[in-house]
Amino acid sequence: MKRELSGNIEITGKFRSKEKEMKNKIILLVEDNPDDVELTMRALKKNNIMNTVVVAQDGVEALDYLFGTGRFSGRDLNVMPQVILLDLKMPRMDGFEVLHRIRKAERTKLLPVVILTTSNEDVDRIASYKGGANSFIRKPVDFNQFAEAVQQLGLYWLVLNEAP
Amino acid sequence: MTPGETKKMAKVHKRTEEELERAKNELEFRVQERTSALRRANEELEKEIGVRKLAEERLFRLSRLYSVLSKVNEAIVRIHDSEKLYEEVCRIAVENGLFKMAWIGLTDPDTREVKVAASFGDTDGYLEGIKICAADVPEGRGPTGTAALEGTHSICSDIEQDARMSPWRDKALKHGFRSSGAFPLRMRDAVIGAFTIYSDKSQFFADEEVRLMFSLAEDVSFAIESMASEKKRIRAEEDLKQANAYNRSLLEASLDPLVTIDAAGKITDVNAATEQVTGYSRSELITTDFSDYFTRPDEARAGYRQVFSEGLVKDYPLEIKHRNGHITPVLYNAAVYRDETGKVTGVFAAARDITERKRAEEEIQKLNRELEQRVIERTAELEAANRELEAFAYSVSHDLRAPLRSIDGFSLALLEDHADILDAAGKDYLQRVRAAATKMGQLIDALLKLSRLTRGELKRAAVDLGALARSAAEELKRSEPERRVEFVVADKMIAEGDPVMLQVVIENLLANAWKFTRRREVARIECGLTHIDGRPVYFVKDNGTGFDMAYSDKLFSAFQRLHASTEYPGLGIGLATVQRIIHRHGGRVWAEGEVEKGATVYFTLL
Repeated sequence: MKRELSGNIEITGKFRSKEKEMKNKIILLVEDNPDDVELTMRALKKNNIMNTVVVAQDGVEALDYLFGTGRFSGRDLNVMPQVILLDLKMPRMDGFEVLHRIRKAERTKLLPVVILTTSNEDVDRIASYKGGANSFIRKPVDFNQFAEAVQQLGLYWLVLNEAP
Repeated sequence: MTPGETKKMAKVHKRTEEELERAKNELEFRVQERTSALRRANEELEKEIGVRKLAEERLFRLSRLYSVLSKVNEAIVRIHDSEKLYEEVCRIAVENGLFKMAWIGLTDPDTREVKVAASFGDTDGYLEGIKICAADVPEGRGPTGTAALEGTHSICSDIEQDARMSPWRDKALKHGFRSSGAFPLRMRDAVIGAFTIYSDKSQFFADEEVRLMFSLAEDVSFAIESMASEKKRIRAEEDLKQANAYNRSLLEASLDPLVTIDAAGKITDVNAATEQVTGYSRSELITTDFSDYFTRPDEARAGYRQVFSEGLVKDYPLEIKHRNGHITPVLYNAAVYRDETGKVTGVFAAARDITERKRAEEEIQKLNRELEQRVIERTAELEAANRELEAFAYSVSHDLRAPLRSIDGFSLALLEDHADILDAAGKDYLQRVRAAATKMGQLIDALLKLSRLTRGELKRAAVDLGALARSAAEELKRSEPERRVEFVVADKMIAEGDPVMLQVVIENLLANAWKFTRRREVARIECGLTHIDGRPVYFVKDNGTGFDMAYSDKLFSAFQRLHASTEYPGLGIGLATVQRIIHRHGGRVWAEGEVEKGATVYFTLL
């Protein structure tokens, strides 16, 4: 199952010049919980991040998208996400394995990966950074705090960060 | 006949008569002369015969004495007991030397009295009750006393006349003694007594007799001296035999196998314990190689070589091999032994059977292994339990929080997107739902934190609790700068424990004290060290709300509160966390307090 969401972007002030660019910057959201998908989309929207969001429901789907396999076979692999938001606990293939495959493959090894997870376990945080994650963000219970976190990571990865 | 003729005749006649007379006289003179010559010759002859007779007698006597000497020498060769020899000497002197009586007296070294050791010929008790001394007293001036005192021979040629004999003269004469001679008996250089002989003739002892009897006494002296040293040798031999028997009984009494080995490594002696442990008899073992009776002969050889080079070995482990194959583990203690010149002649080795000890050691090792196995199993169980707990905590952390996020997120979505269809009460309810979800999230986090403290490894190091307290105090002051709180923190409070965990303890205790003194105009919080039963006890004391001691047991339970959360907000997990950490350190924690007078929390660390 795949969902592609897109919307009009309203960017004000200094970000206006990057409007078009941002629109083409795809976010890959790897998340198995539909509630979390919904809330993440809501948080993005609330922060006016109107990029195309590709949702993969688990690790296998995420890799299919990145390498043009499975249901994504034939996809134009020149289009790669600007940032990958990766949940850790998922069926079939978990986030660590996905991260490992991304870092191992020549094509994907430089993609920014942000771990977006419910847990705040030290082991998870350490394993994530060791695996080559660029950020580790814990999803707070309070939606407002979550929205704030999403805003900041969108600002950073989609606007400020220069891709390698 | 003429006168002339007659006269002539007469004259001739007269002349003839005169001539006859003259001849007669001459004859008589001659006869007389001859007779006297004969008498003289006779006298001479008689004299000569007398001399000859005397000489013969003398010769007879001397030959007797020579026979005495030779028989005594025979006796000396034959007899090896001094008392028997004394008696024999006396008997020979009387029977062969024809003395009336002979005796041997020995001087008592204490009383100096010469006591009869042997006698012969004393048929009617001359020596009975006699008193003779080897000293300068009247009883010491007779021949025996003189010989025994001065070591020279002493002769009394005529008992009747000799003044020295006065104490015994009458008795001696009555017994028919006319002369006597005493000759010293010696042992090495000391005079030990005298040999005394009596003759029924005065003037018996001429030079030759004296010389012979003196040499007899010397022979006897020599004999008793050699007999004494022989006796000594025999005694020494017997002593040695006894000592050997004693040593052997000691060897045999030992339950440890004992062995003596010569420099070539051959067995020279063993005890019964060695026979038992090897299964070979003493005679089979002696002269064989010591090392043959061990499971590892090389090590046995190295062992006794070490004894020879170092003088001894201690607790040298070997295994003795019985002829039936049974093996006895032993510890050898061995030392060299030396002859009287100090030369090493062999090794004395004692083995201590350590079968029992080994068995005990093996038992202990087995128990240890079992224990270790159990520890491993138990550890594995605990690790599994821990992993389960971790997995549980992990899943709590993930799965329990995710729905809360949905509850909060969609409640907010409702409020934001559908506010128009909600009345004020509905909005309030949704706010309450959100607050509850947030609170539950906090509780879950607190629980996870508490559980994490029971999991991680405890790393001990020196920790300055005072420094931790000061930095926690600073933090608290910054959080509420308007409050007036006096912190009193002891200077050096170095404790041993996990730095991270102890920091949690101090922060929790100070935060508690801070919280419960909020209504004090001037709060006072003290962190210090005291001693109870000589052991350090740390404490955090405040002058805050305090608590009722009746509920002190609830203080340290998770989520137990003694105060309304509206008054003193919190999750009720601070002291539970403190207790868990202190318990993990092997310490103890307790609290004392009084309502409105403050509280003190004490803790110890192992």
